[in-house]
Amino acid sequence: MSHEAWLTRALSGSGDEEAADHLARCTSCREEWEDLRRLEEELRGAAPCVPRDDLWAKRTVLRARPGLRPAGGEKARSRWGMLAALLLACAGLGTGLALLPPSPPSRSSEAGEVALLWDVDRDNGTLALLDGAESLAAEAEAWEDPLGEKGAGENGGGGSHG
Amino acid sequence: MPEERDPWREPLQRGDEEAFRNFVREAGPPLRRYLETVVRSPAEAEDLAQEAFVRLAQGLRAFRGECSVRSFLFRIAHNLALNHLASASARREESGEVPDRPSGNPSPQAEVLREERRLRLRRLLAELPPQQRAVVALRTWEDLSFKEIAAVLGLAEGTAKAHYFFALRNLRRRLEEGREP
Repeated sequence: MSHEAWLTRALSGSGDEEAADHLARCTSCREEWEDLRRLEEELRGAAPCVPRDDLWAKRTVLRARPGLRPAGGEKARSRWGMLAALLLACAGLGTGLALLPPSPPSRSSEAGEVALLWDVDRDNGTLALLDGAESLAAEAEAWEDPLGEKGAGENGGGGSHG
Repeated sequence: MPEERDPWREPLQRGDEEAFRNFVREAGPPLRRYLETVVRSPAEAEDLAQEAFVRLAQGLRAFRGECSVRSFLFRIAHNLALNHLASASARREESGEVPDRPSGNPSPQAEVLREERRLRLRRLLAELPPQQRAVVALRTWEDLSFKEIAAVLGLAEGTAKAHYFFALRNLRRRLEEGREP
């Protein structure tokens, strides 16, 4: 084996007993090995200092982010997005309907209320007031106008005759 | 180190962004230092390191754990650097300049001399062939085993060891000759 081969083995790490034996016997190899070991140590101390650069790190993560996403994540994300959009649309529609002002009563409903007070007298072919409607009519009869126009007119007329 | 459990592999393959951010913070500076040694330009080293992380993120799912994630990253970066050097040499001659980062603090004379020696070593290292300077940087600065270096550079382990020996011998000779770039 050549000197270079022994030195290569000796520099490659500890635990090579054959290489260590060779270095113990061969002065030139040992001297060169010692020189190279010193140089190795010197080189370790000569490592250039590269400062931590947070901005660079952030830019790097931003650039690498698309590659980090698991396969199919994009599709799954868009599916969930569509579902969420649909739910939001439904909720918005429901809220909108609930907030709409009530519509004015239709003519048919007014007719229904009138029909509640009157019934058709099938024998005579005329309209007759319902039972409950009669009492309502009596109340209306007894009702006095708060402004007293009707009462004042009747009273004034009677006083002029007497 | 495929025998040991790599703590980065599982979270990174799961797509954990926080783990990736931490990995960038931890492995970023040594990767940039390594690339700076290979391509001899801090700006280009930064760009290449960023590209290496992007490619790592894209390739993580296919990564089968033959080596550590860190070695995998360095392998990607090394290939990018070699491609960069090949295209750069086609465009222009290399200037041979090595950027230094001298400290702004005043130093005692002994420290100044040591710093000068360190700078000289780095300049001489930058003059070595790319494979040799890559092996030296990975071994002495990044503390990678020869097995990992072989995985990063795509070489046989014995070849990586031989590169290392001849790189050190070259450096020693140049130091003795007092050659300056």
